[in-house]
Amino acid sequence: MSIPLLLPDILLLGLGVMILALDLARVKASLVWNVAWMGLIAVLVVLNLIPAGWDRAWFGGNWNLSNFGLLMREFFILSALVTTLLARSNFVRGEEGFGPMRYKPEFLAALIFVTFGAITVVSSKDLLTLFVGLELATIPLYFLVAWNKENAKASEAATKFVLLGSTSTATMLFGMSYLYGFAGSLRFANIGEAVASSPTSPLLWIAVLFLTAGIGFKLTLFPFHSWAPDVYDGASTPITAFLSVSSKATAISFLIIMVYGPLAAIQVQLQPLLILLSAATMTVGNLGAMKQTRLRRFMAWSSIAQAGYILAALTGPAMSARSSVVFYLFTYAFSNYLVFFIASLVSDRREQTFASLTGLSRQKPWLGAALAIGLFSLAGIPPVAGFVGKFMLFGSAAKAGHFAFLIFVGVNTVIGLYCYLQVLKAGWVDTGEEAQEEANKNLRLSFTEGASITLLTLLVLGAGIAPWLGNNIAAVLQYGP
Amino acid sequence: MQPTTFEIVFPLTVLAMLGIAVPAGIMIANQAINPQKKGTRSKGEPYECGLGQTAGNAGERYSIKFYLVAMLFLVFDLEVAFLYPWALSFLKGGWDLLWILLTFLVILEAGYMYLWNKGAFDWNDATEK
Repeated sequence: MSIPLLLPDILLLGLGVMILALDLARVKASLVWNVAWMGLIAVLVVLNLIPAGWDRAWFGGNWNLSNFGLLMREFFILSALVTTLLARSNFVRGEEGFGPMRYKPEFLAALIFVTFGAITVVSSKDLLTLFVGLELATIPLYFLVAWNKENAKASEAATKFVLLGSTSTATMLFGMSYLYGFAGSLRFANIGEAVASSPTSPLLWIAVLFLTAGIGFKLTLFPFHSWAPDVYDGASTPITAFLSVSSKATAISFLIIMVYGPLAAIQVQLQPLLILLSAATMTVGNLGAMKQTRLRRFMAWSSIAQAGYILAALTGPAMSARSSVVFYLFTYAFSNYLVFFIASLVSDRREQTFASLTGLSRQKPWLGAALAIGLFSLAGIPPVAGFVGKFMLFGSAAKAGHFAFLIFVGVNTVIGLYCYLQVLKAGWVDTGEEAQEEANKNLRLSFTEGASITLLTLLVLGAGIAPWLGNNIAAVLQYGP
Repeated sequence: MQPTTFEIVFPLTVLAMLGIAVPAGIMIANQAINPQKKGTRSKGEPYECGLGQTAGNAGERYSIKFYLVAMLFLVFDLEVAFLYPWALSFLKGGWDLLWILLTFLVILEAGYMYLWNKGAFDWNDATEK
C-alpha cells in the first residue's frame, strides 16, 4: 500500500510517544537520551529512502506528501536532531550558573512534537491542517522556553511569548476566516480558483493583511519582532537555537505554501508588501544587533535580519523561491547551530556574553576557526555556504526585477557583516578579560559537542564549495512543487 | 382549547405547597429522630472547595491542584465534545467510524495513563504512599 510513504511521520510521532512511555517505565536517563537521538537518525534514514516525485494525499486530501514537503521534513528532523545533541550539555552540567535541567524525557518529546507540527504545516493542502500544524509547532515551544524553573528571566520570556503568540494566532485566524469567507472553501485548490477569479476583492486583501501579520510574529518580521530578543535571551541555548532555526523555517514554509499555493494569482501584487516587510525587517535586525553584548540576544537580532533576507526570496517565481529558500535554510541551520554550540560551550558557570568568547582563538584555535566559519557563513562571505545561500536567495529576488530593493539588501548585508564581525572580534582580537580567557583555556568538550562542532563546520564549508546540496535540492524540486 | 385559570394555577399551588412542606417535614423529622444541641460554629458556615474562609481577604493562597484540575477538565471536556457529533452520525457511518473513534479515544487515553502514572490525579502529594 502507500503506508511506507507515511512511515517517517508515523515513526516520528511514535518516537515522541515512546520517549514518554520509557519515562513512565522509569528506565535509565541515558537510555531515553540514546533512544531519542538514535530514533531521530532512524527516522532520517527512513525518510531518505523515500524517492522524490510524489504528490499524493491521504485521509481524504488532508495529509499530503509533496517534494517541498519531503525536503522540509529532512530539514526539520535534522534540526531536531542537532537540538537534541545541543541540549545534552544543559541536562548534564547546566548553563550560566543554573544547575542541570530536569525532566529530560518531556523536553525531548516536546521537541519531537514541535517537529511533527512543522511537518504537518508542510503536509497541508487546506487551511485547517495548516493551522493545526502551526499550533502544534508553537505551543510546546511556549513551555520549552520556560523549562528552567529556577530562571526567572526564562519565565518572563515565556510569558511574553505566550501572550504575543496567542494574540498573533488570533490575528492569523481572523485572516483565515476572511479567506474562507472570500473563497467559500478551506481547501487551497478552491481558494486558488477564487483568488484567480477576483484578485482585487477587498475581502481577500484584508485576509492577506491579517494572515501576514499573524505569521509575521513567528517569522519575526518587522513590526512583529519585539518578542524575539527577550524570548531568545530568556530561553536556554538549545531552545533558542531551535527557535531561530525550526520556528522560522515553519513560518517561511507557511508563507511559501500560501504565496505559491492559493495566493499564487496575486503573487505579483504581493511583491510590494513582501519587499517592504523584508527591507524593514533586515534593517531593524541589523541595526538592533549592533549594540548587543549578550550572545543569545545578539543571535536573536541576527535571526530577525536573516528572516528579512529569506523573505526577499519570496518576491521571485515559485521554482527559484522554493529551491533557494530550502538551500538557504539548510546553510542557515548549519551555521546557526554551529555558533550556538560554541555559545553553549563558553557558558558553563559563566554569563553568555561577548566577553565569554575572549581568547577563544588563542586558547582553542580550532574552536575559534569554527566560530569564524559560522559567523562568515551567517554574514554571507564566500566561499562558505552562507554566501551561496544568500546568492541564491537574492538571485530569486532578482528574477522579479526590483533592483533598487536588491541594492538595499546588499547594503544591509554589509551592515550585518559589521555586526557579525563584532562577535568575531570578541573571539579573535579582544584581550583584557583574564578570567574569561583562563576559563576558555580550560574548556573541556564532550564527545557529542566536539563531534557536532566538527561535523557542522565541515558541512558549512562543504555546502558552499561542493555542489551536492544545491544539486540535490534542485533535483528533488524539479519533479514539481 | 384554552387552559382555564384553575388549570394553570392549581399545579403551581401544589408545587409551592410541596416545596414548603417537604423540606420542612424532613427537617422536623430529623430533629425528632436525632435531637441536636446548638452545634459547632463551623458547621453552620457555607462550604467552598479550597477556601479557608468565605468572607474576608480574597488574597489567600489556595492549592495549585485546582488549576491542574481545571486544565485537565478542559482537555477531556473537549474530547467529550468531539464525541457528540460522532454519536449523531455514527449509525450512518458504518464500522469505519467506530475504528476511527477508537483510535481517537486510545490516543487520548494514552495521555490519561501518562497523567495517572505521573501523579497528576493525586490530590495530596506523595505523603499518601
